[in-house]
Amino acid sequence: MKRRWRERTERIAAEVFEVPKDTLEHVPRITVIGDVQLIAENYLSIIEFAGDLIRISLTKGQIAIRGENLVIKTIVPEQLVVEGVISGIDFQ
Amino acid sequence: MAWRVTEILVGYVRLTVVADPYRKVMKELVERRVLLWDVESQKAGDYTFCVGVRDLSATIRSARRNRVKLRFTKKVGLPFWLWRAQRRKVFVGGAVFFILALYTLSGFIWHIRIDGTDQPEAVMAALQKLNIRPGTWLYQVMDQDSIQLALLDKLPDISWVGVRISGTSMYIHVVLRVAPSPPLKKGPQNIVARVPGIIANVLADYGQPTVKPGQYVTPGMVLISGELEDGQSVFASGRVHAIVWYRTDVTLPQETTVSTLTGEQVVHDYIVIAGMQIPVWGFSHPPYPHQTVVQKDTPLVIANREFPFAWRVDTVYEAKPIKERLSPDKLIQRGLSFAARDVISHTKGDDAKVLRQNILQKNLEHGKLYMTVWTEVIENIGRPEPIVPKPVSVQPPAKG
Repeated sequence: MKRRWRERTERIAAEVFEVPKDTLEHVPRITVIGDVQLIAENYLSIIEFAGDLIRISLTKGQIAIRGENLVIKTIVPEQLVVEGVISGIDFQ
Repeated sequence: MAWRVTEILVGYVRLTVVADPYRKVMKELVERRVLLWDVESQKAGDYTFCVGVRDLSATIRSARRNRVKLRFTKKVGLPFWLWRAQRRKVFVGGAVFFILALYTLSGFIWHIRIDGTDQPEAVMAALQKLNIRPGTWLYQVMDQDSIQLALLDKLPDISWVGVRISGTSMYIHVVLRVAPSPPLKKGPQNIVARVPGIIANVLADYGQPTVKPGQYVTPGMVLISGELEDGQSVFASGRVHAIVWYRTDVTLPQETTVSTLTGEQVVHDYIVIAGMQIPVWGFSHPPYPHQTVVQKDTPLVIANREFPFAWRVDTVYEAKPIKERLSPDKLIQRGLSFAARDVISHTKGDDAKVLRQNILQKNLEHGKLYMTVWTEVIENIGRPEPIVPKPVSVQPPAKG
């Protein structure tokens, strides 16, 4: 109950003060640079990993990255960097 | 990127997880917030990644739990290098020995070059007395200034020595003391008159003056005698100044043309091949009515061999002739000074002086001055003449 109230106030505050949504910590943030690099922040775990498909579970939902020669360049607690030739990103 | 540097310092491994299609090991490590990088999927359920040494035991434990094999493909980092160095003691020892040997051997003097003298052995011997020879340890050698002073002290016939130590070489430059020139051979001689004149003064360094001021002398007359009254013959020397007369004929044009440069110039560059001149640069030929050309050739010389190619630079200066017309007075003055200069150039020695000039005859006609000048000069008229022993005349014995 308390958490939902907090979430609600945060959302309302973000709308009123026009704060970008990614500054709120628990929202996943995905940055795509061309079709060569994808940086996912606030991820939870890696569900599937193959050369042509990487599925990552985020704090909210999942993301499936399709492409060729996909490599996870780095896995650090805050972010996950995927490199390769990205052909599609699906939110699930 | 900063964490990469620390990983290299601490060490990391690249490993392959064999037959783990569900990526159990990786998922476990990610959940445990372990740093992984360069995760690449291989065929048949294999995948590779890099992990730091700190998290290696966690990785191995996870692999055991999930019953998959790990294969290490690369070990990077300082601890691994040290470990490898420990295993290859001889190799590392050789490397260290090499560096030490290079360092030690460059601390010796291996080469001594001596120039500026035709007796380098003497300098070398002096150096050996100072305990400097090829193979001497550089740190035992005195500094360059002390070596210079010691060498100057040991070698009396050098006036300067420069010592330079450069790396393992020692360069010594010697400047020899120039020996004083040997005294001239002083055989007995007289000072005789070279030209006719009237004696002004006699300054005899050696010998007996035989003439007096005011006396008229003819060429060949003895002025300072080397034969003394007591029968000795000496090297007579000294200066005998006399008044001498010269007659000079001068011809001077009244109008002279002097060429001066206006400052305008063009430069032409050519390449000269076997006498043929090929223009390279500078093609303008301004219409100078009068010009002076200064030519400068730079031949191609490689290793003291001259090739038949040359670079020629012609500088064409514009000239302007200036006509000068002198007044008769000035013309005579100029003629007199020409005559004086001509006379002085004919005298010997450096102390000739013009006393008087007389114009005997002058004639200005057809724009030319014809003049005869009588110049009175005081100059040294002495000339050394060796004394040859007089042949002893043998009188036939009188028959009585």
